[in-house]
Amino acid sequence: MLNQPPSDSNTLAPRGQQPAGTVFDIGYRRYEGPREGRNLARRALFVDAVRNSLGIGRGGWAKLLPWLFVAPPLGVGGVFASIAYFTNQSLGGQLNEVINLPSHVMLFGISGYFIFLFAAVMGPELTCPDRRDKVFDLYLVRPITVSDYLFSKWIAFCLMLFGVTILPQLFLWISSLLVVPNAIEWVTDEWTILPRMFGASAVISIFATSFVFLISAMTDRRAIASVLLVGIVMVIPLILSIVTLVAGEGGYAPALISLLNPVTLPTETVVQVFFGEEYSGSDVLHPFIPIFWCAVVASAFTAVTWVLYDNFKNR
Amino acid sequence: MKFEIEGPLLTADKLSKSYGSVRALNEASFTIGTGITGLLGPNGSGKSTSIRIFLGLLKPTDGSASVMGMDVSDPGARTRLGYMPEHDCLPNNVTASEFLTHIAQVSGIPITRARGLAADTLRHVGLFEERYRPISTYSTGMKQRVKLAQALVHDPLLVFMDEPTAGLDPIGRVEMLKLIQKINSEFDISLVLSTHLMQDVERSCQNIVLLDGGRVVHAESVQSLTEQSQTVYVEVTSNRDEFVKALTERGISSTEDDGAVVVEDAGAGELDAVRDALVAANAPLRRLAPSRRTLLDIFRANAGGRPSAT
Repeated sequence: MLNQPPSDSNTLAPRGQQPAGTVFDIGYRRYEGPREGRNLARRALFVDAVRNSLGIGRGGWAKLLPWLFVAPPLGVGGVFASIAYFTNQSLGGQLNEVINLPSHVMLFGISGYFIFLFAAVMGPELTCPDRRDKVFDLYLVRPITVSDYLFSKWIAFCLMLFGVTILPQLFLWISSLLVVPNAIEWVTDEWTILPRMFGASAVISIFATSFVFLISAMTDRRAIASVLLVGIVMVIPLILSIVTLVAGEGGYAPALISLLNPVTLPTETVVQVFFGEEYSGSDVLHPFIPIFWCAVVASAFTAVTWVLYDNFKNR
Repeated sequence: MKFEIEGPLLTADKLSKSYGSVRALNEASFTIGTGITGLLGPNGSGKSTSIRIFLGLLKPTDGSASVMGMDVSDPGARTRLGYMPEHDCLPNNVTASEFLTHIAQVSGIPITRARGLAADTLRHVGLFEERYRPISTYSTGMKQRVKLAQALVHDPLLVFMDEPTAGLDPIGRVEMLKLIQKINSEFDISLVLSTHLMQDVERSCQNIVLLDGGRVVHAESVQSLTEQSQTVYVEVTSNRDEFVKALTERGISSTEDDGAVVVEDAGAGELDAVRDALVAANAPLRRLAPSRRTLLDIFRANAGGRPSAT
């Protein structure tokens, strides 16, 4: 049986005299639930880093900014896939005889600059504000270490860059699949493209993340870090091109210069090695050298970053 | 998981820390138990260094420090510690609720419980209604409360507070001190207050550790430090001169302080003489009170020109 309302329930009190809701103070309750330790802390930092770099939970501009850089490489891949599919249908499956789709190496070269720009603009957002607002101190008085903090943020950003790098390649791969007469035969013959794509994307994202984290550790101002990174991405290749012109073609000089370019080293030289193509210095450098050099530089960047962060803790 | 503590919460054993040639802590040994403890000392006495060592932010040059029985180098020692720094430490572009939920997770609390704890903690510090506003829109007092809330959100057993009333107006300061006492008495959370404000310490703390030049000068209860002295203040409503004369006749010397008659070294016999002198001078008694040493007196006695350390 339903409870009957009070007899005067249909008589509303005048506005302003109606009873307000009451908040009961239930006092302080001790937390007796689970404490999951460092793994959960790392996961929380990882999720926060992903949200920050994609602007999730932030204002409109913070959401838009990353996509300005992510969209072009994704768009290029998507456009290829769409053109391939629709044109191939209208040409009755003869597209591969009419146009040649760009190679994966070429697409890595095009998307490389966008990926580095994306990294330059969004990467500092992950770590600079923590130090500028001194939230970093609050993290370190929790049960985590400097390594936990850096590792979580580093992995988060690296995985995002990996996604941004591999997706256009996957689109292109799908485009190729759509225009060949026999897809199964093509996949069986060309299956090595997939591991090459993943390998090259991993190298680019690991290198770019190490590079961005190092520069971001040098200043707690996000804008300055971004400007520095964009400057390096733009200026160093320009300087090295001039030096290459002066040094002339052939021999060791251009080969060694190509190893100093932070953008083209992973996005062109290493990619060309991965896909078995000729690379800058291929006449004098063993293919192992650019990959090894890339690993050495990325490791050095990461080690210096860690040392800088350990010093921030001790300040 | 129940966290039973046996023994002191914090232990420093011959703790030393040097910055180059400057010795910020010099074989400091002390223990801190439950309750509210004031960490006092002039600039450069080693207060901040001690706190940073206990929080695992600095490595001691020599000696050892432990938190709830665990060495400070073990990240697990910080599971039940909270820290409210003096400086600004809050992100501006997030809401207090979002920030506290994130901080609770970084402390190891699962997300499902972290949200509830964040809301509860913000209610306890008086920010429940404002919890969905960006922190950048908060006043100084509100930011101070968020700083306190982030130190409490994971239900710690001990919270370090560095100058908790710094930058607050008088009303905000009183409210913060009330909150500090509430945290200890109602939430059963122990606190270590590092502050220069003696009144704050006298009002809130049960124990103090007084550092000077990196060494421990006093480590005892506030009550025993400010124990009553043998000096007595006597105030009469009239016939004061007659009262002083009657005291002199009984061999009691006295001085004057802001209208009161001050009798030093007043033992039982001297107090009887004061009573008799009041009767003889027909001086109506307004107040008779023993004087107490204040923490400021003790601080002044110990503070001098010291080399500063970070």
